[in-house]
Amino acid sequence: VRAQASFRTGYRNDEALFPTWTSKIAFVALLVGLLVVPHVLAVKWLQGSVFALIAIIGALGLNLLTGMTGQVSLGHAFFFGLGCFTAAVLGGSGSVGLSTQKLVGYNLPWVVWLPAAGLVAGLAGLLVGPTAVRLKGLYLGIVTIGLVFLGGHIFDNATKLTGGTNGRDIPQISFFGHSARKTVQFAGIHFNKDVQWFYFCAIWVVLGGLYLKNLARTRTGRAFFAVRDRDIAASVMGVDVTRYKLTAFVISSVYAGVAGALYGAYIGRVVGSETFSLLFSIQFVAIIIIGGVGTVMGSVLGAAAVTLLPTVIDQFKGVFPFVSEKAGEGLIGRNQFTAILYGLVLIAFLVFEPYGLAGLWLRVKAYFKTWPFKY
Amino acid sequence: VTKFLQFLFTGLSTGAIYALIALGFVIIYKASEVINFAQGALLAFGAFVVWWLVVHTGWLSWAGSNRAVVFLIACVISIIITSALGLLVERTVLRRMVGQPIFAIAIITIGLDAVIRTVVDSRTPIGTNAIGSPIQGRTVTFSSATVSHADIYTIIVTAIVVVAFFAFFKFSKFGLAIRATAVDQEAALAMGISVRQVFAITWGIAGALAVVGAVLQLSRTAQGLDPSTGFIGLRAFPAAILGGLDSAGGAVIGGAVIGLVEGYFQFYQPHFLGNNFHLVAPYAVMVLVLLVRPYGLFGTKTVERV
Repeated sequence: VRAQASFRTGYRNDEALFPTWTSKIAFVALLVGLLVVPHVLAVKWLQGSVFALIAIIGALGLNLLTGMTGQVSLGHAFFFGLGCFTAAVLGGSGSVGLSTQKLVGYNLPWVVWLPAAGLVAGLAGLLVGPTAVRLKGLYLGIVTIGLVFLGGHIFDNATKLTGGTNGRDIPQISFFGHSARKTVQFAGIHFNKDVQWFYFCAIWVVLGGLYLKNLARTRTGRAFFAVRDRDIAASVMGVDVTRYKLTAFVISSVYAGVAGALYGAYIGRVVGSETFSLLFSIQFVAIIIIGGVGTVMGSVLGAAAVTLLPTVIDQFKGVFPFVSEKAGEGLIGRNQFTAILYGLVLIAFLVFEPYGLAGLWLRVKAYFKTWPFKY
Repeated sequence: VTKFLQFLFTGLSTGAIYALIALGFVIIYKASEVINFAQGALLAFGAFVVWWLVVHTGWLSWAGSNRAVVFLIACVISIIITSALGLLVERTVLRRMVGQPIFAIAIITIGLDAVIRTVVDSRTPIGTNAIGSPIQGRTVTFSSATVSHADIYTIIVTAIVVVAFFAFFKFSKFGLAIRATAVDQEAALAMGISVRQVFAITWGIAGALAVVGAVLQLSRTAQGLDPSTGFIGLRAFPAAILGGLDSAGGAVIGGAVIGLVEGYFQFYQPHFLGNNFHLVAPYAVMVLVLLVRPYGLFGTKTVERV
């Protein structure tokens, strides 16, 4: 009787975005939760959450490419950087950078530069794609490492666009003429910078997540899965492998580009080769593995877990007395402790729970659904 | 022409280091189809052990005139410890992952890399930590071409190691076992080869190669041990890929090519395509080669069955 709500009575129902009443209710609850949450959180956690939301967008893109289509990419940072600097160039003021050199900037609003960031990154994905689709497995992974280094070189040397090694400012977002830096009061509620950002990013996360969830149930999505599971078998079945790999590359790059633009704009100032390094890419791989490969839920959980880990450690620093504020003091510095924890968590998940947090969640759900039976 | 020769030498010795590290990739990949992203961490760890023994504990100060001997002993100890670390990693983490997707295993080695390297970094003082190599900083002049001792040693030592490596591979029982495992794991098992032992040996060898590479690299530059020491592991990837991941000979040739490309770009085209292009030129070469030959120059093209 308990399981009645999740009966699926046909293919249409099975393919639906929200197949059951509970899932519909859960989605509405999520939306309401997103509305309320920023007013409850402390500043530290709120800022962490904004980063988590941005990371979710990027993780969705990587999960599409690596999780759904099976193409290992360590080049996500490059597309992030492209999006970020597209935003900087289109939205920036062309002000004088630290190097007293005039930078290129067009002062356009975010309505222009945010889509453009996605577009430029997508185009780059299209350019890189033909090389990438020829390669298989880890050869692709290593070539995308090369992409990150070549990208870092470009970011360092395209000084007029990126500010080179000095970095450059990324434009702020303004809504309806109000700069997002200023606190707005509406119906007695204060919306400060972080709250506005939270809502803004949440909108993109929800849209991006829904699009991906929808994509997974279309012809294209099924082709992605087929390519991942066995590309030769897929091509025998009539799936145009090259085309779908390219498609996955482009869509994934668009996500990365948009996320990069948001990331840059939220931070405010970015040095290309430092920020968008290999470590940045690896963090995203960690996100989708810790979260769960190939699922939207996994991207969300993983991004939240990985992005908020430093905040969690900061919150509970009393528990780890051997961790000091700065590197070189005490037994180990905080950043180093975080890095080690990343590594260990990554290894632990791969060894013990390859489906990640999403897999854990499914197990918990199955346990309660079938309670008191074992399965 | 003098400059040309000089940079030929520097390029070749850079390439020799890449070749050593690339051999470490190749041997693990051949035996177990794992790409070991933690090679750079093993390298940093090996360099750390040498530094710790030689400089930190002060061996050098009471070594007197026997500097070279003390240094060599430290290197040997470091090789043993680092190989042991390789074995430990293989035994505790990677053994559990046999049969899992190669992607998952590769990512595990990335995780290992982060852990090992951060631990090493946290124990390394900030600043330049010369490892006290006796061959560091000296140069010799052949008719107006100045060549550093370290470069000569690098090339010679690498040549010896490579020859020994191939001899081991070709003529020893273990070498045969590794080659058999590379061809077909199950068949090797059926023939009574201990595949576990093979995996363990390859990780041990990779650790030893990493130490040799690390010591030579840190002898060549004035940089010393610092958090960027392990990055050379990443820079050696193009060499391994260029030659083909499953080709030991390819790794050596790939290393030489990449080293020369880097050296000549640094010398002849310091501002071509922006400053420091020589640092990323290997990646550009790698991408270009892979466009034409997706399995590298000497890699085996895999035939897949459905």
